Amino acid sequence: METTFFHVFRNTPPGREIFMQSLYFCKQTRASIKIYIPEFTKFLMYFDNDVVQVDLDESYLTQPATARSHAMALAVQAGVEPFFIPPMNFTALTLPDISVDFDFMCCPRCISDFSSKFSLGHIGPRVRRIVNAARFPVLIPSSQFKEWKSIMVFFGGSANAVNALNLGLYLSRTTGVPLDLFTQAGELSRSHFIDILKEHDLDEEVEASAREWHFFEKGKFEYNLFEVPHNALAVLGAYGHGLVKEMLFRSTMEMVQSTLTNPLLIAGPNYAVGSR
Amino acid sequence: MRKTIFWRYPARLSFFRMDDRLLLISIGVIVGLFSGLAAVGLNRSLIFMLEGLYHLRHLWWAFLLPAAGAMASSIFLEKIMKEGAGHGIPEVIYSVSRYGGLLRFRSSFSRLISSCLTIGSGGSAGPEAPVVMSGAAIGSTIARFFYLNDRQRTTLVGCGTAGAIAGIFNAPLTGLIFTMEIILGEWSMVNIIPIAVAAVAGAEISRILQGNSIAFESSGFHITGVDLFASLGLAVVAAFASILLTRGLRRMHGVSVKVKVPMWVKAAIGGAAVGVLGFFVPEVLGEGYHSIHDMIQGVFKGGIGIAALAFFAKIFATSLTLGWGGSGGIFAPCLVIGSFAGLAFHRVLAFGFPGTPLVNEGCFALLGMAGLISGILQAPLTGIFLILEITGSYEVMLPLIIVSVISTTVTHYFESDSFYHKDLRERGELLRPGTDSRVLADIGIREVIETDCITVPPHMLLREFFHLLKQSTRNYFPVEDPETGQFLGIVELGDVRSYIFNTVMYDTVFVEQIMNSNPDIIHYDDNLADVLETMDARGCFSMPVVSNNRFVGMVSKATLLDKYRDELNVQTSQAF
Amino acid sequence: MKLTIEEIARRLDLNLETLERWIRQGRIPVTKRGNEGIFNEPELKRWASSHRRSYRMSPRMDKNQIQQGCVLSSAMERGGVFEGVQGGDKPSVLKNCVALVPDLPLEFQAPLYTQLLEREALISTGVGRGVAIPHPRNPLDQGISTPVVVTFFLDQPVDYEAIDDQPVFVLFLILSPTVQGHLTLLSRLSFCLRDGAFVSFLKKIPGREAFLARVKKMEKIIDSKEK
Repeated sequence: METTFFHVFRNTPPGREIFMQSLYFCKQTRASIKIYIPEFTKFLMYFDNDVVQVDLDESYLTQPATARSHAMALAVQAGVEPFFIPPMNFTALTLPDISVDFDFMCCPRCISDFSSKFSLGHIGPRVRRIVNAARFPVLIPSSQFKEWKSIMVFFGGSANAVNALNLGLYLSRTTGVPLDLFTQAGELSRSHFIDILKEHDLDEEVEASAREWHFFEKGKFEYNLFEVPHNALAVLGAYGHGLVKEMLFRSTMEMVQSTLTNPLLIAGPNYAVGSR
Repeated sequence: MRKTIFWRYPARLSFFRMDDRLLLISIGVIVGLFSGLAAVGLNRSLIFMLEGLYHLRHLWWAFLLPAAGAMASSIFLEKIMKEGAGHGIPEVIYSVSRYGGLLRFRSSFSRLISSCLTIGSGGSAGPEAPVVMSGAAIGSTIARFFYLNDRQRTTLVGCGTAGAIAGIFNAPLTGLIFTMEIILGEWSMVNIIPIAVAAVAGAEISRILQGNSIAFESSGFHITGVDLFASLGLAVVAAFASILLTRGLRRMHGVSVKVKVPMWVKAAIGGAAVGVLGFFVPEVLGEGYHSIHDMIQGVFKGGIGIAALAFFAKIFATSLTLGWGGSGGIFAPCLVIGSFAGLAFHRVLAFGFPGTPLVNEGCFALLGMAGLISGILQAPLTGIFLILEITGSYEVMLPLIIVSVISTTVTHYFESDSFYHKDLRERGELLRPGTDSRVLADIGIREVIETDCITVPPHMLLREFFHLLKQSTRNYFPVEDPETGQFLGIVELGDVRSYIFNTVMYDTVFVEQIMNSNPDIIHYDDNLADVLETMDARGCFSMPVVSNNRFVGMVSKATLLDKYRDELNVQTSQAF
Repeated sequence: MKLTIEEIARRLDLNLETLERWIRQGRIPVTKRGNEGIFNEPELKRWASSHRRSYRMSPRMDKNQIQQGCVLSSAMERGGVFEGVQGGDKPSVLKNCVALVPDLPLEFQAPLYTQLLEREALISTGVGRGVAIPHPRNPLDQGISTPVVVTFFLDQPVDYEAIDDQPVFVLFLILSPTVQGHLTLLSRLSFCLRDGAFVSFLKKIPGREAFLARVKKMEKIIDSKEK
């Protein structure tokens, strides 16, 4: 069974940077890339329990005549075979449905109108909803393309963090790229986290495959983030500690996203390795 | 570990797992209440706007009112809500048939506001479709809140639409029937109870807040044989009116598409035209319920000419409002047009055959309404029950049935799909439950793929190939390049059957010579319906699935039959 | 009851994707939590029977399972080798053979004998060079649970109306509950019998051990060819 990656193509230089990151990801994981060149600014994604309307910035519709050839050229250059998916079903005349049958998806930090095209900004609410509803992990790229040479999994001990760890291990296996762990432990001891690993039968695998476990007992989270290599792919789970806590205090996802320049791969609560 | 908030997952309680009727009924009541509230809310706002703007109607610039309203509605819907407007009800039907009724939360209130702007300012549309959409979205949102599955969510969407119709017309039975006939498209025992309960809830809240009144009360009609005969004619007239309205709308929409101005300008143009028309024929503005009232009471002023003029004017006005981007539904205009049609027909008959004991013209107005609704929606039951419940005139049952049924039939002859289904059918999106297209739409290629084929390299000798036959269980052998694993072609046993005993060929023929190097292939994301069409067209019973140039498996008609039966079975079963 | 989704799919003989889709659509009384499905077993069984599915706990028999090696030798071992069987003509020989078949309940002997004769009536099972392979006309559905081949070396060669008109000295009685089993045994046996050396070996009326060893050796060749 092939692994598929969904990308919404933006025919502009910043869009090119993001596309190249998607292509690199596909190349590393030997996935095939499914590209959607939007004809309308909106589309719907129907998940299991949610329907998300994605409103794209007008720049996504730039120069449709050249979009396909640009995308094709970039893909060929990266050595990934591109497939273009035209929308098959429409909820209304200007509202196509996009299938959600992918293994990965690329979402720029904020794909709605109000964002600027460069900023890190906060992760838009639409992207959050996709992450929450989807069965696939979402790649949030950085603003510039850089090949990532290692994977850093943020392991906080929650169920979603275990999900993220599974994802990280799977990626490390398929790409051959080294895997590191990052834990901001606070008051909990290292053995607490090891127990959690044992509970999920992951302790041996982590022992064997993880290169280094950055374990921080003190220090502020944002400052400790400096230890994350500049060319690592950050992998984390969404909603680690409960929705309310996250809304009142900034979540891990937010902090990582606004501090690090690395690309992020976020595994939502409905993600399970090997599932679609 | 993430704690599961148990009360948000009621469907997981073992008590509800097998028989969730109780759960659906209770949640259905809540949904019905909310949609009923939405209906009442819209109704009240419309009345408020109507009374507010009434005194402006005689001013010379009053024709700009509908323009402003339509424009505001369009801007609101497009720019603020980003709804991507369609009519609304087709979207509900689409989502119910395909995605188990998933609707966007914004739809719960966006259409209420936009239609309030359009209709309140004088646009010729009805508040029913927006309310139905809101009710459906409310049902969908509540279902999502409780993490219900597709089937349960569909039921709740039905509850929402039933509550909405029940609330806006004070007609619970109509709400139930409309939902089953049009939205869900099937009458399943599991759904009836929660939907009925929701309809009752919607109607009840409407009665509490607005009082239990019959919308168009009349003083009773006496039907005689002549009337029955006349209703045949009326049915045909109503059918033609429906066709005229449908085609008029479509034509108007086509015209507006050609005009290249922003959407809100188009809406303004349409609104302005309606405003101008409203100067001459004030009955066309807004919902038009006042005129219906007069007609049923039999006190409509004006002769045949006025009635006929109003009839055509209203059709024109509705096309303008809805075709040029205004937001609203088609129920109310149908009722008005129907009344005018009935009235005009009655007056023509009275003029042409003076002395015949025809019933009061109000009755004909009533029958005309039924004819229009049944014709446009091609749903005779909804038409019958709606008229019954909003007029309370049970004595007209016989001609009512005649008109509704005949109107539906005649309209169907010219327009194969109802107003709501037309768009969907054109896009190929209409999936009614238990139909072939529905069953095929649900089954994915991944579910029918068979992966027990033995692959062969291209340079294998025929002798070895036949030896392989002993162990194989299939008739198709994909050929793969031994180094790259690329799919090169496929060998079908039927092609080589004749060579089995020709031992000379055993050592002189390679697999690549007997293979079909260009077979029809299927991709993973192909539609099963398309695949079957290809199989039928080419006359093959199996096709290979190739992805990324690699052979994955075969899809054969034989296994498809089992899967199809299972799926059909599961889709049409009444309950678990 | 809590099981993994894969296990539920296996028990119902359902494609995994189909099962997941039905759970999501609410068409099967199972709820999903993570990778597990929660359901009530009796109601699932009821659901299965009303939807023409079977709910099975044990792994299913694969009809198309390719037979493992050494089928023939194990069948022959089970059947046993008998020497010096009496009989002056085909019917009496067959009658004595039937009486010697191990583990055959008495009430099935007469039906078996009739079936053998019926088969002979169609065309003789004497395939030449003194060898015969009698078998019932239809697979026995009772009396025999596993396939067996019973080998009988006759005291005196008997006229068997064989293909080459030569008298028969050895009979291989093939008994199998399924046609599939019968054909497999027949195919392997005929492969052995094609070898002239083997037939000559048989003519010498080898002892049980030598005979079975020889058959095993030949079967190994068949198995290696099939790999």
